[in-house]
Amino acid sequence: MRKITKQVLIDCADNLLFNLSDIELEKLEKDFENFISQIEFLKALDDIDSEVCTTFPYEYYSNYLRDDVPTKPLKTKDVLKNVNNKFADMIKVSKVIGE
Amino acid sequence: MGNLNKTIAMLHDDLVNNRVTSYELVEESCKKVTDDTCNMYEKKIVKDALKRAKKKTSIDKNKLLDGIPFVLKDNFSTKGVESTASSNSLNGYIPLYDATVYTKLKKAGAILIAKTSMDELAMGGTGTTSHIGPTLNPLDKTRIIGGSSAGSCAAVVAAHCPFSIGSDTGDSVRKPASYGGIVGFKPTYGLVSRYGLFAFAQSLDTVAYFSKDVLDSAILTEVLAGYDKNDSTSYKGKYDKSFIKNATEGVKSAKLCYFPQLVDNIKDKKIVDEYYKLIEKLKKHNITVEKCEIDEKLLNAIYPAYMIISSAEASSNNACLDGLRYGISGDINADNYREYIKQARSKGFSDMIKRRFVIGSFSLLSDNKQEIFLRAQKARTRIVKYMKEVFSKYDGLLVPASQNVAPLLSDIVYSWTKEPNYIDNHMAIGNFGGFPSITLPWIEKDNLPIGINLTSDNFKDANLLGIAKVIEDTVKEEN
Repeated sequence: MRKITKQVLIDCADNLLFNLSDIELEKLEKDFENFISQIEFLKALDDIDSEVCTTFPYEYYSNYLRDDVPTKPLKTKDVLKNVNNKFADMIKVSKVIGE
Repeated sequence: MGNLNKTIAMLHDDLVNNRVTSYELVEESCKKVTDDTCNMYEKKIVKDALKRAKKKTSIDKNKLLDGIPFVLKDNFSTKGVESTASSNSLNGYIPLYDATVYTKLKKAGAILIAKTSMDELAMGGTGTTSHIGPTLNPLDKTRIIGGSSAGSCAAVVAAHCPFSIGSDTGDSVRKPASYGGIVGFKPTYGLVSRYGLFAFAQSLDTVAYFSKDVLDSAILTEVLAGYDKNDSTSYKGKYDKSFIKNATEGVKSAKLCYFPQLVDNIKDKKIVDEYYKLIEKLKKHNITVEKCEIDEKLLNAIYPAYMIISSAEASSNNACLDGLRYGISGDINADNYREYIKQARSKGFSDMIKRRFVIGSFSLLSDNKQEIFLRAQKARTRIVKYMKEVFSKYDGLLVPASQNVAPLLSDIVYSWTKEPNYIDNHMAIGNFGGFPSITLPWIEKDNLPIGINLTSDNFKDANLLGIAKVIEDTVKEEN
């Protein structure tokens, strides 16, 4: 497991595209102390790594392919209803190319 | 006192027999919602509700929800009505479509009065982390009502409406129901469509609801259950649909069990005594409740497995909250789009949400995935396997839904605990296996309620409602 340092936590936040204030970072470090203790309870389960991973609550198989049903896409006018920064019929974003 | 203390079934009877009109019910609900003092609502749509109620000149006697007011958690899409999931990151967001649950309720004739407050993005169990502040318990405003479906629970407790809709990822409907002294039902995962429910942790999230009694939960299940092509996790198979019949008649007999740690480790021994009194009384109704051993290690694994899986899924599901297509923007001044999104998300999420996301992201790092995230998923498998064994011998698990009455607001702590914490988190078992699970009113301590919780095997919802009916009647006899 990767060693928990301030920088690792900052990097995680950076990957998630938000910043952490000093106070937030302090709280997070405390959370991680307890988090590590809790992980031990998973390790304590006998032969746990022999289990398969659960990604869905119960076994449910369906083997059909969904039909291609044409649907109407959202109208540009509607898409832009929730956008704060727009220009003409486009979402206006800061510089994308050249990073 | 008004009409809204009554159940759905009673109000329907009043409506079809012209003892009350839908407009009168909606008007009463709107007044109570407008005068709310517990911070239950994100968005009140009383004018629209009154307009719709006015148009309702007749009641369809075959539609049990026709003309009845209700409220909806703010993480359900409602076309044209702001839906923020109590997060600044979604301020001003007006969905372009309705959640299937809302569509079905509208078709059934129910009238939406308001969108309710919740823990931000449904992450939390206290009902105190909404961007509009804590939701208070109408029974004692110094206490929490619990969360994340806080406003939806408080609205039924305060009789603003006879039922409400929430969502349950760990116990977000069933725990508040315990603190509010009402019924909270989470049906089997896949039974009710999640289309239009903002995803928190998609493998655990379930639509769930609050009502005054078991029959009302059955009525809501009858209306809401069913396959939905818009939800890829919606269940298409067969299952027993006699929800209303069972919730009316009750089962003739049942064999239940309890895990001793979830009863005997409750600190207040009066509550423990009450539990054993209840199971003694249930014997008279042919419901036996036997002790069933469970390895304590399995119980200890519930909390970390839940927190890791839900935080990891949440960190991915909420990547869409970028401040570009919707949500917060305000005074953002950024040189590039990455910086723009960072500023929007930094402003939009509270520190609690950020901490959960970082824990989720940390668990998914390639160096950690095996040891943290995958191990949590494996622990989930082990717990579900064990529960399947339990349900092969018993019709359900019956245990207290909370170890005490609703905590004081001043006692709430927002961090992980070091110690095992299964007594407060055991109901996540219901989400791990997608099991149907219901909390019912049970006892009172210092004039505040504590609920009892019943969980059974997948798609045994109708049987569970039948057992719950007998428990409900037994508790009422007792009181």
